[in-house]
Amino acid sequence: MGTPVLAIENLTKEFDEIRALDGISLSLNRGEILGLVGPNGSGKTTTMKLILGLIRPASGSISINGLSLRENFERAILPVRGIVETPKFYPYLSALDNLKITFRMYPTADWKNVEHFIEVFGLTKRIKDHVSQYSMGMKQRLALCNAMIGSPEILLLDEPTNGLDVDAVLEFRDLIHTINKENGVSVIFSSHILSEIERICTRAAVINRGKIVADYSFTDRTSQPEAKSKDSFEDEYIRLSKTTGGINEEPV
Amino acid sequence: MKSLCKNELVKIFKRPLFLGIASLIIVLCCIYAFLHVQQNDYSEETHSNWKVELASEISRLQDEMDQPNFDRSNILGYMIDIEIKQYKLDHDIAPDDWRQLLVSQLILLRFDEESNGGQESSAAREIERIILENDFKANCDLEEKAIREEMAFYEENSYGYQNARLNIELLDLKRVYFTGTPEDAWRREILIELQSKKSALLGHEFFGANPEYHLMPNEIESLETTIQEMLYRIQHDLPKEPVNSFSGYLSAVFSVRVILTLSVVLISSLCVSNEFTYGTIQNLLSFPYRRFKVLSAKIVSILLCGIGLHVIFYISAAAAGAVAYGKYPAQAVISLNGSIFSMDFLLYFLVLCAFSLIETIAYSILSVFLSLLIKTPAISLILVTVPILISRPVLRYLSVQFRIRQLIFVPFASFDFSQFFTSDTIISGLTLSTSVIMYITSVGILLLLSFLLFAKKDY
Repeated sequence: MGTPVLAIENLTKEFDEIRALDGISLSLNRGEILGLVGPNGSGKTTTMKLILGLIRPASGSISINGLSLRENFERAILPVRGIVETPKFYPYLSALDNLKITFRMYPTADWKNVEHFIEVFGLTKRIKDHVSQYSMGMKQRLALCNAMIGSPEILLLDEPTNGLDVDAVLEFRDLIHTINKENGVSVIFSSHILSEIERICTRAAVINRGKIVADYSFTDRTSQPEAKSKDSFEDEYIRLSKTTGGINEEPV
Repeated sequence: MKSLCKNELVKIFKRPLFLGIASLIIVLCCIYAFLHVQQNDYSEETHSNWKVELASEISRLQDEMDQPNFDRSNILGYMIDIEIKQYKLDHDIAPDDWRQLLVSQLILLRFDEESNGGQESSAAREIERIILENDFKANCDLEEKAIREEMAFYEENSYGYQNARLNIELLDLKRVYFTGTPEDAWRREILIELQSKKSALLGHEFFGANPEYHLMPNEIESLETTIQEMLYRIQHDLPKEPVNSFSGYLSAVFSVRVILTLSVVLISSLCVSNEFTYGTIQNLLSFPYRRFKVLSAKIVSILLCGIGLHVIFYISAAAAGAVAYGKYPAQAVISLNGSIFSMDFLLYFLVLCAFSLIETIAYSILSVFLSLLIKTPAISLILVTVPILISRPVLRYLSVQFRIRQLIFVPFASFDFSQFFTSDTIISGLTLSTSVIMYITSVGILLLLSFLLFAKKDY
């Protein structure tokens, strides 16, 4: 850890004169799982979409491995993959065809690697089925498999456990850890479920009303045994809520 | 870019819809061919049975005459009719033979002379000689003589005089290009058609104020072009095939192009708007390609899909026609920008298909633009389908009824270049060069707006 693979500086975004992001600055270190936590409408999805280039910032900059996303989009975005909101596929195509579509987009991608992930994510048996026949959990696994094509360095997961049952959530957590540890992928994981962030992430940034209001490191906490025993992330979040005048519950 | 295009093509070709459209085109071409052949068989049968029909007609008339309650006052009419038919049978004068009228003249003349107790006149003898010797030129001389006698009664600037002059002109053409043999029957048919077209123009010139004779500017243009084409056919020995022939079939099956255009428009609409309805636009835009390339790949693949469907249509139509008729189609005669030339019919059909493709591309780009703007496939599809189906008749109606010259600047009037090849321009006064400029401008603007919209929007 240490070298930032992703650096965001003073990012602002407005939708119809409503400020969704208000000068966010954030960095993601190599091998880190960064939790982006905040209430609905706080700006988590907007941040993810800005990093993926789906929306354009009003001001500020995003650089990936030192490359500006605005000036060098094609090179900068190459190591970034993401699942924003729910997984999306072409329902009339098979899962395999959907994966091939992504595979063609990354000239350096290795199909053997894709086959490996198909196996790791338990999709082998139904890989030729149409995606429309998949359950939400299956789609989520397929989306992760799809996101691993081209060996990404950064993976953006926007509330990926929404709609999953308990077993699927546990399975999904394991997959994230596997990807992070075995493939060295840095992850930004957004959620409004504090316990989930605590279990999955190594660091958490609290976002509220389009601003980062706190940056919380779980590794720092584990290095301070006293803090670990006294304060959970949830306690910290509640304390933060009190000191910053309340976490906004209304969507921006 | 190549990978982007390949992906778009996979998305298009793996849709069950594409396979359905391709199959529909092939089936329609085969059905058209089947129906045309049926029509052909029927007409040939009718043509070959004329002797049998004539003989049965004669015996029917004779039977009626033998009936006890037969009205004897009609006997002369019956006898003349029987005599005419018998003469045609005896001298093998088929229904499309140029001597048909002469036979009637001869029999009437004979009956007239017989009732007056006189002997056969020199006029009757001359007519019979013309019939028996198949002397078409002598017949022309006779006709000209009669016309010139008639001309003497008219003033030079009168309709009667001009009409007579027109008939003499056509007689001259007949003398040069028609020999009177059955193989030459097509020339006579064209000359008769030519005469009727020229008469219509003359009628408009003299009695244009009368609605019965009045012609709209586009009708005049069409008549003048047809006359030029007919003259070209006669001068260059290019027989016009009947409707129920290979070339007739290809001309008829070309109407399937509307289905082609609608299909490609449907595909292009789905190609863009489904990215929004499925939400896959987010995957697509997070790939390491600029938006310009993403949209370009979509447009290129839609273009390739359009080409593919048109190629399927061309091959299916040509193959179905070849199987149905078993011979090569006749030459096509084309009038373009005032010059007339002939072309191999299959090549001509290929050019028409290419024009249909050009029109399809314009509507597809409109569909892409509307899909980007509206994002709902059904609405954008309806908005494009309406001009495809009604722009042609509506513009034609407005042009004819209100003579609005500015209609040439309506883009939809310029999308179809085949109108200049088939002598059927939608708006009177619209030229090929104006159409090309309007097409490039409108398609260029649509492309520019589509790229701007796609590049600037948040997804």
